[in-house]
Amino acid sequence: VNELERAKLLAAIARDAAASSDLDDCLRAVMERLHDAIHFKGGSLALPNDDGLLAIRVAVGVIDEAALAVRLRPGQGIVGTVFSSGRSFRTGDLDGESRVAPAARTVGTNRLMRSFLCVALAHQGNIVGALEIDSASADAFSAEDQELLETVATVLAGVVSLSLIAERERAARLARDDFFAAVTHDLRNPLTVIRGQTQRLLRRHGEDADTGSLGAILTQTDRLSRMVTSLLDVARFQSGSGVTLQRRPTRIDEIVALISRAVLGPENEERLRLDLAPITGTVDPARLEQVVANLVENAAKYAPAGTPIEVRLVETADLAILTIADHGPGIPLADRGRIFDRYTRIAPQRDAVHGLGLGLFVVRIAVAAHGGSVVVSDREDGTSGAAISVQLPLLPRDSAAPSRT
Amino acid sequence: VPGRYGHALRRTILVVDDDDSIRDLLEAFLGDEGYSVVSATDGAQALELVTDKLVPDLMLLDIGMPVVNGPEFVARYRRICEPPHAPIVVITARGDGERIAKEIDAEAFVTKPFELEDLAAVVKRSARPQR
Repeated sequence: VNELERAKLLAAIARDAAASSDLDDCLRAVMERLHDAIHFKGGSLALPNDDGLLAIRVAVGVIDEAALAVRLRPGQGIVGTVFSSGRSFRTGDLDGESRVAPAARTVGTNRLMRSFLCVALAHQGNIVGALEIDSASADAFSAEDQELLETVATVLAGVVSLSLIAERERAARLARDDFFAAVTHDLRNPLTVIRGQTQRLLRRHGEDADTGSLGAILTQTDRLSRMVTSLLDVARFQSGSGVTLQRRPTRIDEIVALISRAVLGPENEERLRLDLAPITGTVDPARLEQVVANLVENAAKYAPAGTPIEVRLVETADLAILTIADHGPGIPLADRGRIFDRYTRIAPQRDAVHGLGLGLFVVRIAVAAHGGSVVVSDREDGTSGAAISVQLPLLPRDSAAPSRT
Repeated sequence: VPGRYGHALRRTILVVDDDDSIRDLLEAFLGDEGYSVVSATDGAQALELVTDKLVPDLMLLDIGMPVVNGPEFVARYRRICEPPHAPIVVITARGDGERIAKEIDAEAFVTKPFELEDLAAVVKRSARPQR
């Protein structure tokens, strides 16, 4: 292989590595290019499997079932030794080589080998595999061939490492999703029972029972249910799985009124100023509840006790715009970009107000899942206080009514 | 008023859920509503009931259960028992209840935690009419 051919080969291999999305396709394409460029009989690439044993992942040329079935411990045989030491191995006469186990010579196509060249796939100090080519002729491979194979091995090591990282992340994400789904499931069963049995008590003994206490149990159970849904949404968002919406035609104003009242409780009834247009939208009612609850809870948390909390709902062309305004200290311009990040709680109230800082993050996730947006501003009337507006599309974007033509 | 038709005409609901407290709640509430309720802790027990004379007018079915899960139960029930088959309402704490309900061709689905009134409405709408 002359210098120009070598450069062309390496460029082609780099292109294969960059273009391929599947590890095996990529490794096979590269091995086949090598086979075309260097004359060898058989070639293979071995990667450690889940047990840490080396197994052939891709083979080209002459190689049989017996060789493919071999599993090597690191340090075992030539390939295992290259894998554990990182040092390349090249010989022109395997039979005269003391490092070869005599038993290994009789395995399948190994019998036909005379020349053997093996290099390690190393990426940032980690050895991730070994690449081998062989020939039935003596002295088949030159020092240049070894150098070329080592360069190719460096490229492949990067590809293999990235693929391993992606594979591990995917597995970890699935495991996390399963875990959170199981936890949510387990929390929802007792919540269902507490809620249902309390409702039965209210229905059966409504007149004589302490309806205030039973009502409080219901309200707080609903609050817990929303938190469970929020935590699951945050977890799924963090793991990159996204939020699955269950959209259905929903009276948005009714949910806004119901949840605002429930969150503030009867003792704060007169603080609530509702100005709601009757709007029906195809949204996820559970997520809408979260959004309303978190925004109203947030306003109540940061505004001084007794001050009004204004909740307004208007409809534009295809959006519901929900604005929640308070008479608190407002949100400084500098903080407006980051209050929707998770765990963010802004000074100076940070120490006085308890919470995880997940509320507005959950609002952002839920609204974004609907294709909407959240905007922070000053109050329209210029007095002190924050106003947070949610713009919620009334229909899923892809199923929106076709425009007139 | 629920329950006014007397015992003989009561409609029968089969509740299949592995959570004792959920079964207790559904038995109590649907009993309040005037239904006759039979319950099973998993799909295998439910199969025993429906192959041994029980002809429910509706089934409330959990999805994740040991031994025989919800979808497996439905498949076997429809294979073993002669039609007409009882309508099925999926009742689940999972987020994908709607998809599963479609897959097993259920009448409706209810997500835990549910509002008792909502459950009552779904049951009333989905149960087989008075025989």
